[in-house]
Amino acid sequence: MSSFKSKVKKIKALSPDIEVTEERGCIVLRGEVDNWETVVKAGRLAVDRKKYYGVINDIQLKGYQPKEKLPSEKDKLYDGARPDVLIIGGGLTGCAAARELSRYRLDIMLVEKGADVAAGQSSRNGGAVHVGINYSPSSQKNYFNYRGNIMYSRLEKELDFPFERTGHLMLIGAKWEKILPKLLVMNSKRLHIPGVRYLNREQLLKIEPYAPSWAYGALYMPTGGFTSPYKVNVALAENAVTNGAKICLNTAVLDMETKDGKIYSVKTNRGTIYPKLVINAAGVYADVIAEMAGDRTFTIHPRKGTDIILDKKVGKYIRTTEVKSPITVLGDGKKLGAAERIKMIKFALSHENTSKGIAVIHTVDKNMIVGPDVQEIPDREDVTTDRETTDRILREQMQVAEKIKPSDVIAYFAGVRAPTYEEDFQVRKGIFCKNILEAAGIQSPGATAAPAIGVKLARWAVDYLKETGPVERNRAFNPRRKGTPHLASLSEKERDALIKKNPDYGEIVCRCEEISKGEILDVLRSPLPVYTLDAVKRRCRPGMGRCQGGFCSPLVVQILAKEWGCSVEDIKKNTKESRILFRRTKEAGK
Amino acid sequence: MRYDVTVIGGGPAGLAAALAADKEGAKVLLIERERKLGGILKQCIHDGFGLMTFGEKLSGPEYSERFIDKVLASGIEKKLLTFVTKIKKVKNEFVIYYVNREGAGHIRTKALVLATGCRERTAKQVFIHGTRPSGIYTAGTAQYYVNLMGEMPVKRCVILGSGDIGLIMARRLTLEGAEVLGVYEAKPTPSGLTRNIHQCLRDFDIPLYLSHTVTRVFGDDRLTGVEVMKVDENMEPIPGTEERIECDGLILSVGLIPENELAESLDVPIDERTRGPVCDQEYMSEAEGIFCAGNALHVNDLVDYVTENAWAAGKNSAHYEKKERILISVLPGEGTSYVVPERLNLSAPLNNVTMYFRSAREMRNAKLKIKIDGKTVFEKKYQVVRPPEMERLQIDFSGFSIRKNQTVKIILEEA
Amino acid sequence: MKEFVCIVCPNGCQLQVDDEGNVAGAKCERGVRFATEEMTCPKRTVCSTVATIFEDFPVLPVRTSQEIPKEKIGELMELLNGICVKQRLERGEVLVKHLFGTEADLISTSDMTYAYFDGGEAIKDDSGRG
Repeated sequence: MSSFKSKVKKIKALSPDIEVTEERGCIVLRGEVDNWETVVKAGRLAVDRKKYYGVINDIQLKGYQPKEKLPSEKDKLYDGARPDVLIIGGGLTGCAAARELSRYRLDIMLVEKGADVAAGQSSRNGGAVHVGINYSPSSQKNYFNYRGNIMYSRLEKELDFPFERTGHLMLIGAKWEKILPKLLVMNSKRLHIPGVRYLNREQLLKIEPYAPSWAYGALYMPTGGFTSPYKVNVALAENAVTNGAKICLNTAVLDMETKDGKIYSVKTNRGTIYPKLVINAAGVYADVIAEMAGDRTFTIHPRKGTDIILDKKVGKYIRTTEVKSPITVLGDGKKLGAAERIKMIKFALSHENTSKGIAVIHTVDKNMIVGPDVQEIPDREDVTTDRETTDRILREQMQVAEKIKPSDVIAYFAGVRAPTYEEDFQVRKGIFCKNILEAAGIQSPGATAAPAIGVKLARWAVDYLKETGPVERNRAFNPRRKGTPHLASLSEKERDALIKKNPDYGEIVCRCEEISKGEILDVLRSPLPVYTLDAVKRRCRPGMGRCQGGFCSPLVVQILAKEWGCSVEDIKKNTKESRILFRRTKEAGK
Repeated sequence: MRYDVTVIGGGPAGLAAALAADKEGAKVLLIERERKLGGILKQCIHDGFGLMTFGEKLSGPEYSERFIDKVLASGIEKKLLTFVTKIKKVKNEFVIYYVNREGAGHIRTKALVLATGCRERTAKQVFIHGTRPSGIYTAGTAQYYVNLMGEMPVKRCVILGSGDIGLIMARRLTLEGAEVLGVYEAKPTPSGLTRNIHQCLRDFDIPLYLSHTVTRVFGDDRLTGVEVMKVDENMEPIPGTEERIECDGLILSVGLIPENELAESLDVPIDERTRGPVCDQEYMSEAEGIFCAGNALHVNDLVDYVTENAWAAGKNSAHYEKKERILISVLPGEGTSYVVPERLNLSAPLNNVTMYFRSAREMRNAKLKIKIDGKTVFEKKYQVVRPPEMERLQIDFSGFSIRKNQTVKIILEEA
Repeated sequence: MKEFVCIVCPNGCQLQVDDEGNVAGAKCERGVRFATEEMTCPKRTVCSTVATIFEDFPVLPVRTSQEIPKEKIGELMELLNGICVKQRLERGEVLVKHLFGTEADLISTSDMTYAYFDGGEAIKDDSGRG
C-alpha cells in the first residue's frame, strides 16, 4: 500500500466523513466532523514533510462559525498606497522584518489589525529566550532560534530593552533520569550550543537556591534567558518607524486580488493597497492570508496557552527559567512499575499532555510567571481565561515552585499560538505566488527566533526587489533606539539629575510600580505614538502592579486626554469600541 | 534634614497623627503622594463622617478639610506630590528616600508613622475569568471618575460585593442616572454597614443577592455581560447555577487590603488577620520607632476611629524613646476574627487602652469576655454584633496585675 | 407591623413600628423620631456633585444641610443637573436656599479656594472670586 493510501486509511478511521486528496504538492483534508479533536488528529496524521509542502486541513467543525475580530474603523486612509513592501502583522516577526528592511531606502508599510503592535501572541507569552536544545538540526526552529538567541545580546544594547541571560534549567527527580540530560548534552554538541551540562543538586542549588525538594539534578543551559516580549516588539517597531517604516494600526487585510501568479492589490478596512511585495507575518491568520494570495500550503491549528503572573514577593524564588523534565514523575508516581512509568512518560511527551513544557519563569519585572499549558481549540482568537485551567496550572506548578500560594497570584492571561501541523516554522518564499514571503507557523520559540526571521525576510525581500530596480542602503539608518528610562531602578543621584532636567520624572503616577508622569509622557511621544490605556500599560507598566490600575488608570486617562487634546471620553482601553467613560455626570458642565 | 516624627500619608490618619505629634512639640514632616491632602476622603462625597468626632454628619471632604485647615494653620512641614521610594533603618533612626518634582532626596527621622491606607482587591484576586473588556472597575476607581472627574463610567451595571463602597456606589450611580441591576455578595450575609443596606439599596429598590458571585465576563471591547453563579458555604461556585446578565459595567467591591509594602520592606511583622503591622496599645509596631495608624493598621468602618487611633499614634510617636518594652499577646479568641492592638506593652500606660475588634459572625445577645491566661477579668453584653460593624471598647488594664508571659484573649459568645 | 433598621447612627437599632405608631427597639429619642418619620414622611439627606467651570475642580461636592422628603430626591437631582458653579466657593457656602420650601439648603462640602502650584504646595487663593 502506498504511503498515501495508508494515510487515507488512518484518517478515515477517525471519521468516514473526511475526504483526503493530493493537490498542488499538498495533502488536502475536507469534510465535516463533530469534534475539534478529530480535526487536529487528522491533520497530524496527514503530515509527511518529505512528500508534501504541507497539510491543508479544511475539515469543518459542525455548528462552529469562526468570527474574526476586526477593527471598527472604515475609511480610505491608506487607499491607493503603493509601498515596496507590505508587511501583514505587527507582532515580533513583522516588526523585526520592518526594522531590518528599514536598513534600505524602501517604502515599507506594516499593517496590524489590532489597536497596538504585539496585539496577539507577541504580548501573550512568558518571555523565555530559548536554548533550542531539543530541536532537530534540520528544522527551521533550530535555524532561526539559534541565530536569534545569539542576536539578543546585541539587540538588547541597540534597542534598549530588558534581557537577562541567566540560563535555563530542566530538573530531573531521580538518578536514572540522568539519561535525558545526557542525551540532550549530546544533542547540544550537534547543534553547536555551548555550555550545556549536567548539574548535581549541590551545583543546582548554587544557581537556584529555591529549587524544589525533589530535584535530584538538572540540565543547565547557560545560553537561555528571559526578556519582555512586548517591549522587544515595541522597540523593534519604534526603531523601524524612526528609520522610515510606516506602521498602520487598526488596519486589517480583508482580501487580495491576484493576477498572473502575483498579488496585485490588498484590500483593507482603510482602503486598497498596491504593494510590490507582501510579507505574511499574520500569526494565527497566516494561512488565511496565504490563501488570499493563492500560496497556501499549510494550515494553522490554534493552540491556546494560559499563563499566571505571581507577585514580586515570590519572584525571588526563581532566578532562571525552570522546567520539570517530561520524564520526571512526581508524588505517588514515584512508586510506579516500569511499564506504568513508560506509559506515563509516553503521555508526558504526547500531544494530549496539556502540561507539556510548562515552565516557571523569572520575568524582567521580577515577577514569577508559571505556564503556559496547551489546549487545541478551534477559535483563533479565544484569549479568555477560565478558573479550571488556572487552578490546574497552579496546582501542578506548586510542585515545581514549592514556595508559592494561590494568594500570590496577581493576574493571569491567555494567548493562542499559531502552529502548523508540521510543528515547524514555515519561513519561505512564495511557491505559487511570486511576490509573497511567508513567515507562518511561528510558535515557540517565536520570540527568540523573530529577530533572525526578520533578517532572512529582509534579505529575500531586497533580492526580490532588486530584480526590478536598484535598492539603495539607508545611509541614515540608526540601529539604536533609546527606551524610556526606568527611574525606579536608578540610583538616587542619577534619578535626581533626571528629575532636575525634567520635573515630570519626579511625579509618581503608578504607585505600585513607581512609574512617573515623565516616563508615561515619553511613551506617548515615542516614534510610534500611543493613544490607549493598554498601550501605556504595556510600555511602561502602570496597571501591572498590585492594584492592577485601580489607583492610576484615572490619572493615565487624564494624561492621555491632555496630551492628545481630546476629552477623557475619547480615551479607550485598546480598540475603538473599548470605551472607558460615557459622558459627563452633569449637563451644565458641557 | 532631620525630624522627630515623619508621617507617611496625608489622609485622615496622617493628618491626625501629624497634628497630634506637632501638638506635643515634635518636629514633624508630613509626606503625601497626591497633589492634595485628604486621602480617600476627597472622593467620599457622601455623608456619615464625624458623628463621634464632631457630632455632625459630614461628607468626606468636609471631615478631612477640617483637619487640613488645622494642618495648614499649624505650619507643619509637608511635602505633597512626594513619593516614598525606600526606607532604611540606620542605627537608631530612619532614612526616608523620596522623589517629587524637585528631585530625589532623603530625610532622617527618629520615629515614623505609617498612615498609608489601603488598596482595593482586584477582579483577578476573586477569580473572575473570561475576556478583558473595558467597563470593569473597582468601586473606588469608579468613585474617582464620578466624584472627582464628573464622568460616568457605566450605564447599566452589576455590583459585586456588598461592602460599604459597593453600596455607596450603588446609590451614587443610581442618582447619576445609571441602572444598577443588582448587588451580588458571595457571603450569606451582607459585608457593609446595615444602615447602608437600607439607605443605598432598599431606598432605590436595588436587589441584593446573597451567596452569589460573578465568575465570568464577556465582551471583546467593552463589557457586554457577566455570568453570575450561586455559591456554597465555602463560597465556591455551584455548577449548574450559571446565569448570564447583560450589562456594560461591573463594579467590584470585594475587599480592601492594607498597604504595607514599606512596613514589609523594613521587616515589620504583619498580623495575617488584619494584614496590618502587629502593634501595641501605643500603636507602635514590633519594630522600634515605627508606628501605624488608620486603614494601614486595619480596615476601619468609621473614620472617627481612624482619627482616634491616629491621634494616639501621633502623640506617642512624638514621645518615642528607645526603651525596653515588655510585650504580651492579645489574641482574638472564639467568636472574634481579629483584635487591635495585638500586643500590650506592660512598660507603657495600661489604664486607657482602646481595643478594636470584629465578631466572627452575627450574634444576638452576645457576651464579650476578656480573659487573661484563661481567667475572665472583664465582661460586657452586646445586643447585636456583626462582622461588618467593628466594635470599639476602652479598657483599663492597669487593675489586672498582668505579668509578662501572660496572654490576653478576647472571646465573644452568644448568651 | 413594620420592621426596619434605624440609620441615624452606627448603632443601627432594629426598630419595630406597630399599626398604632408605637416604636420599639430604639436606644434613643432620635431613633423614635426616625421611625415615626419613616412611616409618615420619610426624609433623607442627599449628597451629590454639581458642575463647575474650573478645569482643576470639575465637579463640586454638595449636600443638603438637612434632610428633605425622600420623594423630592428625583427633583433635587434635576435641579443639580442645571447648576454650574462659576466662582470658587468655600466649604459650607449656600448654593440654593430653602430647597422645595423646606429648611434645608444646598451647601458646598469642599473648599474650592485653594490653588495649587505644580509643586503641590497648598495656599489659599481667593483670586477666582467674582
